[in-house]
Amino acid sequence: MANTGYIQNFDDGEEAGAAGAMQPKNYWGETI
Amino acid sequence: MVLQDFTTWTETDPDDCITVTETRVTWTAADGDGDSYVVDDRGAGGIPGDFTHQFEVNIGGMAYLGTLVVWSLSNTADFTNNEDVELKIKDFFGDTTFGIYDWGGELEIESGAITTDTLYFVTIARVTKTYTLTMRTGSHTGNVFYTGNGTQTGDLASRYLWGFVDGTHT
Repeated sequence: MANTGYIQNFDDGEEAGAAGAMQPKNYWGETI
Repeated sequence: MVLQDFTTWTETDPDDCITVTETRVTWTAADGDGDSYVVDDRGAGGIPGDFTHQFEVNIGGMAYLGTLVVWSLSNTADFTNNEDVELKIKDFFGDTTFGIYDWGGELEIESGAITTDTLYFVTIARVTKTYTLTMRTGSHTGNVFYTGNGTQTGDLASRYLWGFVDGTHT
């Protein structure tokens, strides 16, 4: 079998505390 | 809140096995020799000591005893520092596992066998020098498939964030 696959939707958390955010949240809207 | 744009990362792909879009890196028939990769150079000290990285991985298939890297940190481009770490996808006699390891051999966090063609939501959190790997199936709200942690020693300075390596650094 060959090596196949993918990685997607990478959130490095560094903009989670953007201006106006009450709490740091990830791309999926969860508090981190 | 903002996803990484992989098209702004550096792609090196002599094997022509990688396809990059803004939100996804896909590999097809990757031969495992480690010379094709996608990496982001964030400058000296560009990766903070504590972080939470989250992403989704789907493994379509793995070659027998094959190894890939889907996430990695290193302080130099050649991955030779004791504190450099990688999330390896390994086939071990037909079972595929996810594991976080470092060059120095201090860190070893390894999941049980995963299911191919299944989406895994992966969280890698580093607090001080302890890494926690959490894997959920299906989505960010899916069942927790695995969680485990491990601790490093030494200097954790990192510059390069790797999104995919065809093979392993080591």
